[in-house]
Amino acid sequence: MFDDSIDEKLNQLVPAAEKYHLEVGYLRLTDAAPFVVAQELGMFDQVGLNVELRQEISWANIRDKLVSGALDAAQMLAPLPAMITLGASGLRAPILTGLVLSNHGNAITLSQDVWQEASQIITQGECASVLEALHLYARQKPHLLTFATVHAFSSHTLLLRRWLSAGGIDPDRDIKLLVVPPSQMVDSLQTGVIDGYCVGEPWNTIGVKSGMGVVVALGSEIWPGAPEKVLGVSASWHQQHPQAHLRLRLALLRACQWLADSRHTAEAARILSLSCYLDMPVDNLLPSLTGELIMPGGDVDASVPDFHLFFGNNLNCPDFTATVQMIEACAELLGRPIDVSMVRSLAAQSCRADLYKQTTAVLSALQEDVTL
Amino acid sequence: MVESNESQAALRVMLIDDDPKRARWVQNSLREFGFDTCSIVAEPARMLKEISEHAPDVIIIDMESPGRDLLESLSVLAAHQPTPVVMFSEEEDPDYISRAVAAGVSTYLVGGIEPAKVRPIIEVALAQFRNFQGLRQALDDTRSELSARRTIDQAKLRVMQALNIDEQQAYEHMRKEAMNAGVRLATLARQIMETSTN
Repeated sequence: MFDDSIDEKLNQLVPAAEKYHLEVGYLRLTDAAPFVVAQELGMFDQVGLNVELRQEISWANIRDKLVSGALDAAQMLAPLPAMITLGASGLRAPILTGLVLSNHGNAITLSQDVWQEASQIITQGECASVLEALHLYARQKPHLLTFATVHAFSSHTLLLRRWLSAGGIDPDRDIKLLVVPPSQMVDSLQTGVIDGYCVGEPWNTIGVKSGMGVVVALGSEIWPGAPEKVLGVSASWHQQHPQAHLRLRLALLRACQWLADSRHTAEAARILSLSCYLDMPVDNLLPSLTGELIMPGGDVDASVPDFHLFFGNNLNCPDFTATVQMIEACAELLGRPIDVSMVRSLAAQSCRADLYKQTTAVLSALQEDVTL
Repeated sequence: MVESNESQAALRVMLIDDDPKRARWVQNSLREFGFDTCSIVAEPARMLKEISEHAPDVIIIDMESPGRDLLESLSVLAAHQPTPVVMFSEEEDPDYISRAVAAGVSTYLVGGIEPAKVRPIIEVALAQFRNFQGLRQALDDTRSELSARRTIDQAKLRVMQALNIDEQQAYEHMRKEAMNAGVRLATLARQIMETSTN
């Protein structure tokens, strides 16, 4: 935690915030942890901000509220700042990020039925991995397997497509992809509307605990180091509030740092579970935060300490190369290539490593002992 | 403001709203202006089926519906199908997004229909969502006003009994206390009720 003299030191380093009261949006997800922790542990207060957290129901709402100014800043899926800047789903608006809040945090869950079929194929010795078995099963099945994610331009869609492609399954032809609201994911699995999904937590854990789903692959294995959630603001908001933005990033980076300490995991899960935040049992949140995801018979049975990553190895720095990769993967999904210079320009506009460096420079000056 | 003519009347409007009261209210208003609603969807789970069945030209959706990301994904994932595209007319109406967010409603145009054509429908929907919000707020205000008055009466009774004074004196006593503490009378009344029940 910051010491008492922080206010004075901070105010010497960073000019006053242009705006003191900020409304910040997040979705009901385990990796909203940095926002919730910063609020509950007073990290926003410590940087001189009065933050009101707003739980939103969709990424579309987050986008519209950032653009209209109803929200000052928000949690966002990593591909979104670039894709909204491009205007890929209609509304075009320059959105940028100066802070990555987490890496990984996703998994692929199959329905019990499909999992049973795939296991049987493995038992019969026809193949060794779930993915190969799924490939064989998909070929035998008269209709296409249906998978769901929560947003078209999400890390989840990109991970799912990457995973399937690696197993020789063409994500454009061999399966059907749907978007389903997170709250309906497990139901859709149960009713057979979908055969599997790739989502963030707690929706894999909930699927497994309800007995409806089996986790078969982890985001951390499919795309190691993939940025997951970022802090998004509109470019015009950033221009008008550079100091408030900097202070906000400082508080959230501190929260990420706090979350990376495994001694804090239980407390983080407890705070997240509160009725004013995720409002669900701690048991839904702990497995992924501790990296002990329930994987009955999946490919991985050891614990996964990097299931969620919030801090370390410079992961909080918006990465140009990863952003370019995400934009290219989204273009593939759209079925139309985006000009190389356009991709680079989109990445440069939306992914602001310079803002991250500004944040760490202040943080290092404040806490000399910290290594970033 | 709105001229109803053949081309507008023929537009197919779908309403996605899980609040049946508001949906009816918006539907009625649209009808008054000559626009018929082809379908009202309460559950996002039924959204896809309804869209393919009714083939709407314009979709009006409650912003708090969990189905918005699904709706927007159709323009990306559902090839060869009419795809809803979020209404965003920066050129004609730079405040549109702010007005939509404030009213809590979002509009999607399907199958490349011209924004100008659906403009009147959107204006009605925006106005009615906003009015409904206003109505609800007024109702909430009335409710909290009533409950505040009830609490003040109860607290007055407590003070009358505790200090053995009459109603007028109890009221004066509370008013002074509230003024000294710099709180509203209703707040003080609630505090009295909370402390005296413990």
